[in-house]
Amino acid sequence: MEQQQPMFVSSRLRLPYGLFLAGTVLFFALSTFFVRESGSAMFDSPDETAAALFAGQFERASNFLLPSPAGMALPDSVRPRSILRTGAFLIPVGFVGFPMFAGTFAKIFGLHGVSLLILLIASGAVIVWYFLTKAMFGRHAALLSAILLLLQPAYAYYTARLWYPNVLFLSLIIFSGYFFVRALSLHQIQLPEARGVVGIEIPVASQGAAKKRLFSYLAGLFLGGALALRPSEAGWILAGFVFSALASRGAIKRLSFLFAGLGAALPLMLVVYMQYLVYGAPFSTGYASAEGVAVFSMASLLVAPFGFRLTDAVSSVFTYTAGLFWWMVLPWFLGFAAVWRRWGSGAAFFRYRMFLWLMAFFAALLWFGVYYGSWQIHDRIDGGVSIGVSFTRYFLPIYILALPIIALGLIRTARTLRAARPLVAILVVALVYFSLRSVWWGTDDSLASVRLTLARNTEVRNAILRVVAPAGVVVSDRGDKVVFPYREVMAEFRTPEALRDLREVAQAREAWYETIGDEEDIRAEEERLWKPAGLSLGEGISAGYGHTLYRINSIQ
Amino acid sequence: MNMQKEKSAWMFRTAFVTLLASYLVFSTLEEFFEGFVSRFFNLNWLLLAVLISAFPVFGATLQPSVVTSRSKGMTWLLMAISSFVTTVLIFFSADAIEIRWRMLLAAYGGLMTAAILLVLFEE
Repeated sequence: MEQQQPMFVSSRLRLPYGLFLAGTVLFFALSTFFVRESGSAMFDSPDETAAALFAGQFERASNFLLPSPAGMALPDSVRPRSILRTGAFLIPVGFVGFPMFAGTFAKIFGLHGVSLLILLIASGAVIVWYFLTKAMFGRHAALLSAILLLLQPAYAYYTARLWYPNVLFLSLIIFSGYFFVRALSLHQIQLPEARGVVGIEIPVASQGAAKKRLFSYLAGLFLGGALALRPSEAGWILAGFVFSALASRGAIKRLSFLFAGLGAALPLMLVVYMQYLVYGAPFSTGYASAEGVAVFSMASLLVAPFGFRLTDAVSSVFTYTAGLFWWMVLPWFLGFAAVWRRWGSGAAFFRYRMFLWLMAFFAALLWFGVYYGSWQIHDRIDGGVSIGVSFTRYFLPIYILALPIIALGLIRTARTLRAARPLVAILVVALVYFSLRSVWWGTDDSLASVRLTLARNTEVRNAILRVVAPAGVVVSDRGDKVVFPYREVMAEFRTPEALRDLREVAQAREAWYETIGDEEDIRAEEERLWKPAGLSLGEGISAGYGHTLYRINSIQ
Repeated sequence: MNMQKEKSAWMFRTAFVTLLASYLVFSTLEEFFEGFVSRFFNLNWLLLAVLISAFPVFGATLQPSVVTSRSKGMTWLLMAISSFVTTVLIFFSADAIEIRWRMLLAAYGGLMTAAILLVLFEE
């Protein structure tokens, strides 16, 4: 096969590239808007609250020993969700890599600067995604799938809610993938137009040793950084690496494993050392104590830590892919049909690459379906399906692997229906509109609603702080994200041990029950739960927006 | 023989276009008025029909298109209208967002629509 020069952007394609770059800038600006307007003092989930607080702590003191709000030793059960207590200090439940990363950079840029840095990385990853997918699908499908990444609802949503590490993690994976491809010295050539819409990458003779080492080092560094953020994803990353190595048809030999290993070792060693300092063992995580499991090491997080429930897995995958983002289903199927139809007639390279990508996509469906889909998640009180439920951030790799297939579907449909272009235009308008709607204003979990909720919760918090003394304890199912870190919080209190601790606390200091339940239900709960534990509830005090405070008294 | 082939290609394409248009209209109606369509039939069957009808159409060889200044003009007009419609739709739907940011979001939607259509309609 004749090798040609790298392809340049033709004059006709300059405008879409320009629009894509302008769109990336707007994507960054809109995410910044949410981050700025929603403030940095309150978050809509305990995970975000914990990540931001521990990042701040690491920035100040280079450790994760956050002094508790009352500054004194209390029973270990007096803690909000996503945080553990050890005497008068609090430590994180989640992986320490993310707050460590954020805290380290906050020493230079400040916490607000880190927010912008994360947004910048997420926006930059979209551009890198273009270069990465160009290696597989050629410029048309790559450009389209990069534009679709800007619009992918879960990606856009969790970019704005940046104190969840998922988009940052995925961005680092994309960066790593790009440098991995560069290290294998793949080189773009363009096939004659008649052969189809895809280009092809083939290994070139050689590249300089320095370049090879640099790209290998960067691939390892970003991969190690991603793993440091979410070690629980190591299973599929390892499988993906082995899969890519086998699929590279020998080009993997071009990777400098030494330099890639050196790159990966830096962030991984830092996080392992930090885990040793915080939890007393290099491969332990805070999930051990939070789940009450004696040994819940990182190794046990690799495969099915939440068990295997086939019905739940299938239901979760279907609900949070085709069900939630239904407008992406049609173009995905069209892409699948386009690939299928070209299977027999397409060139060998086309079949090979499509086979690899589809394999990766279906493997991701299976893996994430089993791994996370088997989990019972109760993010919403009503159990509803929405973009804010954690499945959407866990399934991000599935959504992103689907994008080039969607892009191929749209391209093939547009080329087939030249005489029916208005139909293609309607399809695109619907895709853009529904994607943005689901992120920004369509549901009660969309960003506009989250912002409103945070504004209301700030009022509720102020009302609670006026009632509860600084050394008081607030007992609440979900109010920890409102009250913490301004007051001590006890989020899990329905066990006999926790109720015993609570009685002890209520005898020594103010304890309050914060709830959004009806008075009638609360009184019934008092008879059923509180009184048998030697506790009673006082008169309710409204904190606004349906929140009520009840003083918890110890019955002598 | 060729006539027969052309006729069946035309039939497949017409079926695909009709089913695709129906799916787009019905699913959009269902999104805005829940139950409006699903009370009568399951939209997933229509989606399946679109998929099945796409197979023979996508299997056909693409004919090289003839780009005239008129067709080029029509394409640009279509892109401009689509971007405008997206912008207006977003601007008037997203009233939960304050005006200056809503304008930016609407512009972003219009821009993305234009970018996608430019890539798709590039000849």
